[in-house]
Amino acid sequence: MTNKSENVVLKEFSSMLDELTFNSGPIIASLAKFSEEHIEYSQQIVELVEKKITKSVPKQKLYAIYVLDSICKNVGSPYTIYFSRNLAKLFKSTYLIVDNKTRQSLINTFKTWVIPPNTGGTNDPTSNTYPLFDQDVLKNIENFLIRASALHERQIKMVTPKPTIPLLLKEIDRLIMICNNIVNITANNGSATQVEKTNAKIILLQELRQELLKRELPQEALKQVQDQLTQNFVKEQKYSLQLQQQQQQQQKLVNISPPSSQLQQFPLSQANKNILFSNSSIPINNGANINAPAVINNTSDEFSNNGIFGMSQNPLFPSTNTTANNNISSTIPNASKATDTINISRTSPEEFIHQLQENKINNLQKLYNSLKENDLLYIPGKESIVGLCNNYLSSNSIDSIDLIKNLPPLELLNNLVQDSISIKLDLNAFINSSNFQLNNWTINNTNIDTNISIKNDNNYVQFLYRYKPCKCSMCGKRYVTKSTELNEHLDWHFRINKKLKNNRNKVLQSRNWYLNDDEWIHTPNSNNNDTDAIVFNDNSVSNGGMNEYNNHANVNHRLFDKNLTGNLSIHGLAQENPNPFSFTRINDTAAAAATSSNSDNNNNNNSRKRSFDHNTNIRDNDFITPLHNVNNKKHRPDKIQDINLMFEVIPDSSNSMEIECYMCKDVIQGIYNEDEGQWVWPNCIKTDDGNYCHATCYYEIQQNQ
Amino acid sequence: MSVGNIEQAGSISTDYHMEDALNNNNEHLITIPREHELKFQLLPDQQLIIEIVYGIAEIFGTELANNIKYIFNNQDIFSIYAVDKTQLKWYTKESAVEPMITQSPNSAYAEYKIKIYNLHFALDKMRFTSSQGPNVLVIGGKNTGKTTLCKTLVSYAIKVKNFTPLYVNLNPTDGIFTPPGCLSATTIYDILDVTAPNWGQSATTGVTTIPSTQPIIKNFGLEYIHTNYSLYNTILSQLSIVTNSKIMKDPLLRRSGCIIDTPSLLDKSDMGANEKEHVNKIISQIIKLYNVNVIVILKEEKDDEDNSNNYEEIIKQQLTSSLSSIKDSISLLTLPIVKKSNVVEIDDVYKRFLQRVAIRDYFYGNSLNTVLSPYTVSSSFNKLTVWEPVVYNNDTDEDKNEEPKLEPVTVNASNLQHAIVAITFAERNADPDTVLSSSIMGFGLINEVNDTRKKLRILIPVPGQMPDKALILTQYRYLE
Repeated sequence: MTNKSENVVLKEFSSMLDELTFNSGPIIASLAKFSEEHIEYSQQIVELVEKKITKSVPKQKLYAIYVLDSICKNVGSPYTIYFSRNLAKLFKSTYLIVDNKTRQSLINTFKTWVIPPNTGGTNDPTSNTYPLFDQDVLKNIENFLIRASALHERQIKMVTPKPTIPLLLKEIDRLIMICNNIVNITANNGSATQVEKTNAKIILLQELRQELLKRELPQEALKQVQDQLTQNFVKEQKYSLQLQQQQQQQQKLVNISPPSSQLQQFPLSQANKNILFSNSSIPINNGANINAPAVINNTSDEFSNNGIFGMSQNPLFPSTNTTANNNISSTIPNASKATDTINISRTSPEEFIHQLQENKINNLQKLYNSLKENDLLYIPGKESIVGLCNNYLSSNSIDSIDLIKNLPPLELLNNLVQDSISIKLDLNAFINSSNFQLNNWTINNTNIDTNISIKNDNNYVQFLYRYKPCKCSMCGKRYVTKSTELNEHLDWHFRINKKLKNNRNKVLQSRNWYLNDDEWIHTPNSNNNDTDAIVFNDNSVSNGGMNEYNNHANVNHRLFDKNLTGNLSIHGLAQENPNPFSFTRINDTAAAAATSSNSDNNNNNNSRKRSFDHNTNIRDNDFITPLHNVNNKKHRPDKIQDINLMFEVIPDSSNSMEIECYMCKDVIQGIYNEDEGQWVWPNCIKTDDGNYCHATCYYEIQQNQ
Repeated sequence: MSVGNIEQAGSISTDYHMEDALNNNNEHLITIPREHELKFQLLPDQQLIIEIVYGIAEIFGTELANNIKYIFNNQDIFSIYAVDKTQLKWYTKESAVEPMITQSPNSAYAEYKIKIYNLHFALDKMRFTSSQGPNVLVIGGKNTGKTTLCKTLVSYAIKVKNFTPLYVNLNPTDGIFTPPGCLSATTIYDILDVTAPNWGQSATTGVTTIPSTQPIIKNFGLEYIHTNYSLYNTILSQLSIVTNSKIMKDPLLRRSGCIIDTPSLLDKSDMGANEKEHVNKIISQIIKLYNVNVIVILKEEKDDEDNSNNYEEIIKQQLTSSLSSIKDSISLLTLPIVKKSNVVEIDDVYKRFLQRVAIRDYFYGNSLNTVLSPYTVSSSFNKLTVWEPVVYNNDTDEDKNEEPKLEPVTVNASNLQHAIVAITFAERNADPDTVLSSSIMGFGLINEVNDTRKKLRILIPVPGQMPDKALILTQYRYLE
């Protein structure tokens, strides 16, 4: 029974909806009324309306939206709740396919949702203060509109002003003016082709102007003209802005007298900025009126239109135009009035612009000077944010809009502030502070927690993270200085990444056996990531001759014999390096030494690092022998130039590209070896103690012994 | 976009909610307010990619780089802490289901975090001011965040000065840098791999984006400590001998101290008096062997205080009795834990999952940037000697049998199929005592056991022949 009546009701409703093919107030009203009467079917009615919105042709979508609007405003809950669910999606999809006029209507409707129109006067103030729909939904749509309007700014702009002949004439005048301006500037700069092009444009524009004056054109034609003009306008304006900017920068250089330059720079650049903003019709929305960006664009457009030509009663430099000039222009009403009095009709546009600028600058300068004389002005210091910002602006002013975008983001500035706070805390202060003391526990102490000073000292937390200000962009590790440590670290990343890239699909890598107790105990920390030192790979395993030298069948790199270390000719020089951080730490296991030799054939079987192997046609076995008898006799190259050709691949663990020769204390600088595809230390040899030294030094000492 | 829009967007993001910023690639932007933590819980096989847009953020103490994509593959649970206001971008790959993202309640968490900071500063102060750094024992019940605390402390220790703390993992069920089933010690001198659930790579032949570490490993092999307390005790002391000799040799290591992670020893429900005695012995053993001078007890705040399961009581008791001679050198701290806000409860399923990850990682590497190639070798039964730790089913058995020793295992399919075996450094024919006291060279996975042909195939991580060493069977199985 209920089913049937439900069907009937819904059928009736949908047939009424179908009638809605034009913007009909009565139908919408009756639909609203109907839905109020059949509130028990609210869910189904909502579905029908939603369906209508999605299914109907674009032109009629608006009416369906009006139905939604009307139902929600007249009936309210539960419809608002049901509609809220899909509202954002519906609204967005509708907005995207309708024409601009409808979009405006949509925006208008949306505005009434956010701030319901005060129809009832003061009768029920509470009901009117709440938005119609859920805050989140509205915010979602709002965000969407902001984005959409930014994208379709131009389209929206085209919708609103109705093309009339006087309006078009005005547009043309503006274009001519801009073009003239360009001509002036470029003529000074000596770009002939540009001048020619712009002159041609001016002639064309003037012709167009004549045509428009002569005869009545149909509306469509006017619209076309308007469209083209706006497009042109945007283009030309950008260009002229750039040119103006360049010119002004030059002017500024001339204008500023050396002694007061630092102080004058601030108001001057500020003034320039203001002029740029008020000259341009590029809208500077100050964010208050986000709901209807189209309206703002339009009005600011008109502002500059009317302002420049003095055709309206608007002040020439409306103080609402930018937040930046708010302060200054509001304090100088006289100044802006003065500029109003310029006789526009007698001046050519470019002169006029020039005059405006001059006037504005002069007035501001006057004001600034008088304020300064009376000590009414706070002059920001060189090191202040304003000063820095000013420098920043003047050094980067390419595009007036970018000026503001180019300001460092708030987070960055915040970061700087935190950094500067933590710099004040130094390590010694931390060590000497009375905080963070772990007291020895005594049995009677029941209140254990208080032993640690639980104190929210945020500075120390910042200190933990910012003590090293330079953060590696690759891994987040921090370093104290940018120049040396971080650069070396980045070099390391570079080498590793290159190796990883090269190795991919080429070199099979696998896990190593873990070290046994002795090896682990004796492996130095800072070097135990030295893959070269603890590595052996399939090359060495597959090498047949290898096994003879192995005590353990498969554990090639464990062939070291600690006793042999003592026989090293170089051993006398190997003293414990006192600096634990230093890379040149002693590898006091012979294991590391032996394996480092092993690692020679590690990366590539064919490329021998020790180039004397290439030259002297050493048999395969000879190649192995020196490697594994390394502890007894160091391989001896035949010729001196062979020594010079020797090098060591810089191990992955090394943070530094430089290393000190263990013997002569000279610095060995890393270079890139094309043949190897590796970064290497030239003329370098790794001794059995894990130290690096010049190959020449090494053999010289050996010979002497 | 005009200026106004930028401001507007900024004001929206400050009131902390997720916005569908770009609407494509299902990329999401989240702003984490300063000193807040965001927990991520991934579904199985879900890939999550995170990029920090601005701010300072860390994962368990390791700071993340900005504008670098971090790929989280097989880690189910982690959390990002915003040191400063942080904005991050995340998206999942090929998965419609979003991971669980929750924000920890700030007040309780912030308090806990401050305590961790304070603890760290106190430890760092010890490192700076004396040549003997802090040897920290972290102890506490199940799911009290012991490992997480250790990870954080270790990560902080390398921040200001390049200390190289020794991380000692005494929890055999956790595979940190290693497969599960062993006790290990690892020197930490570089940042940890935030995307790896087992903290990072160990001992590889190739290059890794983060330098790989070199752990020392002693095999325990059993899943539960209570199945053989005396074996655990033996392994414990063996590890301490090695770490102590290294610390003796290396002044920096001594200064940096060690952070000791422990299993939750008191979690067994029906614990007899004997077992308690064992636990007491183990705790005091750890304190003595590792020269512990800072004990951190993670204590869950409960309304009903159950004294029998109280680590604090045990330690106080130990300090008055067996440890009374050294009690003056020990600082005892308790960190109260509020469950759900400070720690994440993980279940056994997740624990198993992590163990699997650790095993897979050991042989195959993580598929992202370190791909390893293990080798399968075949071996005949008579060439293998396999030992197995004795398992006691109740504590009375254990007391009868004095020795914690190993017993031989017959090599056959039912015993060895899919088992993880520890390859010791002891020769194949060595006696059980030598086998037990030798450290671990690596692990093998027994893939295929053919009883009729008396042959089996073992997956070993390093190319070459099967080392001619004694093997110890662990209780861990892995099916590929």
